[in-house]
Amino acid sequence: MSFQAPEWFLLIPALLLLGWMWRGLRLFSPLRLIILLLATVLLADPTLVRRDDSLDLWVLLDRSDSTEDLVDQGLPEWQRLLEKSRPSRRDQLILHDYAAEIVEHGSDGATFTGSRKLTRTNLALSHIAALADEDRPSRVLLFTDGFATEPLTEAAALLEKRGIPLDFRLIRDETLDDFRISRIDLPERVQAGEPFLFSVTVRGSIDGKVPLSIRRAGQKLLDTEVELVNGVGRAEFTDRIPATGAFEYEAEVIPESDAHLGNNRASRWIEITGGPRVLVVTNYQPDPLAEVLRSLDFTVDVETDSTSLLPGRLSGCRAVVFNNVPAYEIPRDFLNALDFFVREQAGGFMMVGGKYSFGSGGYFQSSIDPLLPVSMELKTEHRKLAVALAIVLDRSGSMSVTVNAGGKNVTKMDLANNGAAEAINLLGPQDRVAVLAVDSAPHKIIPMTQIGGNKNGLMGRARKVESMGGGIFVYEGLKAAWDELKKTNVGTRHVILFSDAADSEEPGDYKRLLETMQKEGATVSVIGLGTNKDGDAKLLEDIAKRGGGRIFFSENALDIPKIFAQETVTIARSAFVEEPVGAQPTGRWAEVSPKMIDWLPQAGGYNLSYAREDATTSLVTTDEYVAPLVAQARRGLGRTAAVSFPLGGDFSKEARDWAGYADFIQTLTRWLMGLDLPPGIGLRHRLDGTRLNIDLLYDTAEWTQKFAVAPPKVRLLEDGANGKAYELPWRRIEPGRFTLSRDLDEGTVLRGAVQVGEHALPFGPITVGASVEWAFDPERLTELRAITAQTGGRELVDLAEAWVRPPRDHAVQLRLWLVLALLTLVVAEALMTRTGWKLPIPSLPQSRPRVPKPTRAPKPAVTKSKTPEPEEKSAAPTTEPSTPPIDDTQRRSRYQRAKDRK
Amino acid sequence: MFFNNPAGLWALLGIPAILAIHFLQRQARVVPVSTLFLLEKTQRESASGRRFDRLMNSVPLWMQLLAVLLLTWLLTEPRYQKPRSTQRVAIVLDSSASMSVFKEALRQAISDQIPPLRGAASMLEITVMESATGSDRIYAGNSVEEAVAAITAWTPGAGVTDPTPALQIARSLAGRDGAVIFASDTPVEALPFDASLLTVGEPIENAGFTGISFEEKEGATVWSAVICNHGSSAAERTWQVRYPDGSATEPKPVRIEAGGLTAIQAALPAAHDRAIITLSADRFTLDDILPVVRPAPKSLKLFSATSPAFETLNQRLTRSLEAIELVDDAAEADLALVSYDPLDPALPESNAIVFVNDETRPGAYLKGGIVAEDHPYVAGLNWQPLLVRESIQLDRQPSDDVLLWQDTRPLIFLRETQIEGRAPSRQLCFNFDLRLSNAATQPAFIVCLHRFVEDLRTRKVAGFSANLETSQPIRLSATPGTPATIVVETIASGESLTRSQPGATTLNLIAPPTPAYLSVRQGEVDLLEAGVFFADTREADFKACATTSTVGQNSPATIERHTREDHWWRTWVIALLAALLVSWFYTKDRTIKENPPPGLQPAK
Repeated sequence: MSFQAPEWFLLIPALLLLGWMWRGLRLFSPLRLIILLLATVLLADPTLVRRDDSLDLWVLLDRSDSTEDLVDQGLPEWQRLLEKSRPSRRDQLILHDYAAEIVEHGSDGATFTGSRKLTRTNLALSHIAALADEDRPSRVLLFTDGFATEPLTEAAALLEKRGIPLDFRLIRDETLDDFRISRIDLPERVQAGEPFLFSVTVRGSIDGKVPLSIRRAGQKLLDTEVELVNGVGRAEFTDRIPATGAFEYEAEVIPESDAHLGNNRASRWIEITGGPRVLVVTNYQPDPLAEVLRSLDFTVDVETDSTSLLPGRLSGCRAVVFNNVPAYEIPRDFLNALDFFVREQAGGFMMVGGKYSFGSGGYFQSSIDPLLPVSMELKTEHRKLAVALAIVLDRSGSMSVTVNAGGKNVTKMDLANNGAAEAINLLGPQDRVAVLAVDSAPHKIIPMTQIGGNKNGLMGRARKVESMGGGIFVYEGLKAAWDELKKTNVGTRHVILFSDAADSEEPGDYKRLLETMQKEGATVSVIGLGTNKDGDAKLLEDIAKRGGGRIFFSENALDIPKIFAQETVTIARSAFVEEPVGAQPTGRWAEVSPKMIDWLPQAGGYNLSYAREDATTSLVTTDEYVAPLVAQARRGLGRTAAVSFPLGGDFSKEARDWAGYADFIQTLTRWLMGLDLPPGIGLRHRLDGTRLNIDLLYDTAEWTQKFAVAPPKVRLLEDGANGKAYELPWRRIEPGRFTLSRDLDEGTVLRGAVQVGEHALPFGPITVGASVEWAFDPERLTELRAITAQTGGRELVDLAEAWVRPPRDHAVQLRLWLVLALLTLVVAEALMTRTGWKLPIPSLPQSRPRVPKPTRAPKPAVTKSKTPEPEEKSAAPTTEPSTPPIDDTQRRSRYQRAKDRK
Repeated sequence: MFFNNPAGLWALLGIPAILAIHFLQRQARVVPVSTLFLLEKTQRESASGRRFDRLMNSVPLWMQLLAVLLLTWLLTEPRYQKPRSTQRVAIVLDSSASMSVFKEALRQAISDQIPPLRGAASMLEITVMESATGSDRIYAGNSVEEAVAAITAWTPGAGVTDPTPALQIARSLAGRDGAVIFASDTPVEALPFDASLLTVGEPIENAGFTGISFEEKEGATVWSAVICNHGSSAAERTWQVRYPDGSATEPKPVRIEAGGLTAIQAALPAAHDRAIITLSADRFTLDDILPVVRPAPKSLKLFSATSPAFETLNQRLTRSLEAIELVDDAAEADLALVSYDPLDPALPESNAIVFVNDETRPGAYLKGGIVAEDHPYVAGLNWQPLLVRESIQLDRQPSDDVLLWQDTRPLIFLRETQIEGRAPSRQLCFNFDLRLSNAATQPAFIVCLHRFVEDLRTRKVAGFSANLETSQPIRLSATPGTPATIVVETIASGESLTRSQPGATTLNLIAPPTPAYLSVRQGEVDLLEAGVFFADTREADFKACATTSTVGQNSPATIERHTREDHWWRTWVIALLAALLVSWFYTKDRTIKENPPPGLQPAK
């Protein structure tokens, strides 16, 4: 017990003195004395420190994939033991399940239904810290395998602050013969040509040699073995990559027997940096544009196999040039990545004209269409040739599968119908169209019809195709399409075959049919739903090849309408003008360079397009179209340009003979590459489990004022997030440092850019391990042990010891009780004073009766009453009421007391 | 009780309809009677003459009215509150400092918008927490008033924070059907975890300090502070400097254009190591106060014991390092620069940078790739241009940590030694003769040395003065076992708070959330003397602030969870049937009376 104001005890001697001086106050009467003492104690404000005698035991059950069965097996026994050892009813047992999320155990009367892909122990502990009653002692008991997929530091600090100890009990299936890639250590970034060290840590339950395979960018580097000693093996390698960009390393263990195959593979990216680099994608060998840039000391990365392009290739790149390369040759992932590269990472993009560029190259409505400063859709009045288009749609059973399209569930058939409708929409009144739906036989949805003024009606009919089951009979479909096309005599006759790449049956004598069509000038393009690895992909590829058209594969059903649109524009509105055309400068080149240029007098040919409103046109044709030949625009932080005339290959002679050719290319490329990043700023990023941490470090002298006006931003793009970039807030840590953390889903591939004013620091791709839950990182277990010690907890072997109450005291104020006691005593004292009742104070054995003082009124001597002897009385009761005789001594005493009061 | 379908109350319109129907007057008919005794009945029916009185006697009317009422009841789908049903509401408050301006508006908004969230539940369970990770819970309980009181007592002071982790915890606290609200001053596009947004801000004009720098000019320490006007119109303010002895400079006017920056500067008098620079206050006061201390970095004592051949290199190194004090006594040095002589191979046991001194004929250039290990001293450095000639090598020990290899030869390694009773020491060993390489011209070499020296400086237990930012994490090397005293003098309130922290090798502290002076003392050593100022300019810009709310009502699913349906609905249907039957019964009776049997046909 402690007193808040012990100085008030000084009042006691003062009161005693008062009682001694004024005896009439009778302060020494027992009751009054007690009252005074209590009042003094009350003034001193006593507080009783009491230890809590109850406990809330929060039990967290790890329900992740790696422990699910073990928890299910052990839970009834654990619950029984914990209930049995519960000290009292005041102690509460509260169970929660957790994995990627946390829910109260059985709160819905069901087992855990959340995602089990991650073990988010930090989240679960933070949740308990927020939930625990501050007025009751709490303790957390964690049943886990110890391998969280995120750091636990934040939760540990919270628990420590709240005084909640964390206990854990490890639950493991020790009998598993599991081997796994524990981690790949790789530098985040190295210079081109710089050797670097990377290591692969393998863990397993059995010692011995395990085969290990290493791949880089999908190509096998080596097969080796790693020896496990005490369950751990580490293989170290050095590598050197001369090219710049981002490269993915993948390691895989291939043991003979393995309990979990999901954790046998892991991958990481490394960024190879170099000077400012321009990526030129071309089919020209050699490419004259690249040669010019090289001769002017640009670092040029030329890619002639455009099908091998990966988004990682954009790392360290400052500008990308597509030099007459068709869209269907470029992987969709790479095309999609360009938008973020330009807008957010401040990259540059240029498309150069040719027969495979712009609309003719199939870029209409592609993901880079909005980036370009020109619009590729050809105006109807500018079209010279009519087209007959036969669209063959697969309406087999697989087309009835629903997919999510922007939050709405639609069938694949609906998307294909939309594609066909979109194709009709892009045709002109003079064009003709037929739509055929095919399963085991062709069905004419729209017979060959001239569009005329009935475009909307035809589109509506195309949208009504329904999937009817069965497979698609390709030959029947193609033959029916050709039968329709034969009815027309227009210049361009084309078939678009849309089919499931995994379910295209009955090719029949398609080769002969296609040969006939080729001879008659008809072409066939194929849109395959699936990948080029699917069972019937080869057949579809062959049809496209023999049909003289293009082949497209897409797993993403949402791409289908876009591909239809691209293909239609390619055949119906391909507008590469093959005649030489005069060139007229507009005088707006100054936006690119203050140095004026001596423009070429005419171009050998050009892609007819239209400048967008926000674009600047520097050079136009002198023909009736006044079409842009050179146009540029800003997109986000980046810049784009469109050069509509060829700079290489056919129709480029006029351009290559032009004296200002090299100057034009290098000036435009420098403009595209943007501004150099000022010094004094750097970026550091790392992955911790599934958590991405990014640090922005800067020189305060250089950047403080700039950041005061325009704080830095970070924009991220996750693959599969529908291409939507998002921004995260920086946390300011100290002068010269911002930081941020973000929990990512496993398997995420992320690219980002830190934007500082007009500049950007690009980073990525960063991959979150695809099997984080199965990584079993021993550092996590070490961390768990550390934070357990930090919070005052322990590893629990005997569940009977789970209910140890943490040393938690609470102060109890005694004020109320003292006041109550005082009230009672004061009332009692008043009553006694009024009635004259006295406390029965036992007399001491030696004490003798006091003799009255002679000065006072004579008092009869108090005689010691004798103990009455029991008398023998007759059993018959008396009828007269008897009054007990008043003892003279009693009467005397009352009289004396009354007198004393006077 | 709640009506799941309040629109069902429109069914009450059936009552006037029924009444209207019953008010309709039957067409009068002449009924000749042959005997007078039948008049008795006729007289009684028309005795009162008022229609209402006639209705009072109509059993069917009452039954029909009852039926309408029962139908209305069924249509409204009444639901009864479940006992102990609780609606959980988790409110995440934006911890950012700008919220301090709108606390009153926040208090009002919470008072207005939270109680309706109780909806059908019998009680509310409210949790209030901050968006900054690691912050304590602000309130947990059932009372809106107490939650509002807790919010009133809360002081936001952090910079911009990502609310996502806090919203995730809030969602797990509130459950699937609970309400999660993010209270801020600036609208955001979309919130994760199905959280609602409640913003209470408005654009206000604000100008304030964004940072401070110091330089030595003519023997005086000159500070230079930058003022930024985050508002949309030019700002005119005054600034002055106050010193610890109570003296102050005259207020000086300063004009800052909208969105512009202005620097002010003055010398810090030699007599004062502290000063408070103030700007005339506006609504956001955190950035109007700038407490500063005279910066004094932690000094390192350097002892050089290299051969004369390294003299030039020594001088260049010493010049490139900050806050270095040269000493002649190796015993008192924090760091030694040592050249390794094979004739005298003993190396010091203290912290040191060791170079090889090879006086023999230069060897050939080393071949093989240069590979850096994963270590903070060499991370991210480009060593590829490094050229090293063969030379004698240091005697490497198995415990040494190699940082840089060329082929199989270690070029740089780190040695850590622990001698009983002494502090552990670190030696950065360059296993080649620097003079026989181009290392001295390589940025990687200089940066590596600086990282090593700064690491030693951080580990040294000594005092320093610095100007820090609010809520900045601070790590101080300290002596284990001796408790440290931490004093925080808050400038705005003038309060001084002293607390003690147990001694440890490293003291982890957080700078105060508002402008203040912070001092940390351990025994006789002043570990830190700091001025703490607010510098997150993103918080000082109120242009994007606005008031919005997406806090909605409870979903039908929530109402369903907190209530139960009317179990008596079948009874009401049976009652409805009964009422209708009774009504019909009496209606039938009258019809029979109106159409008497053929024997009673009136005479014509």
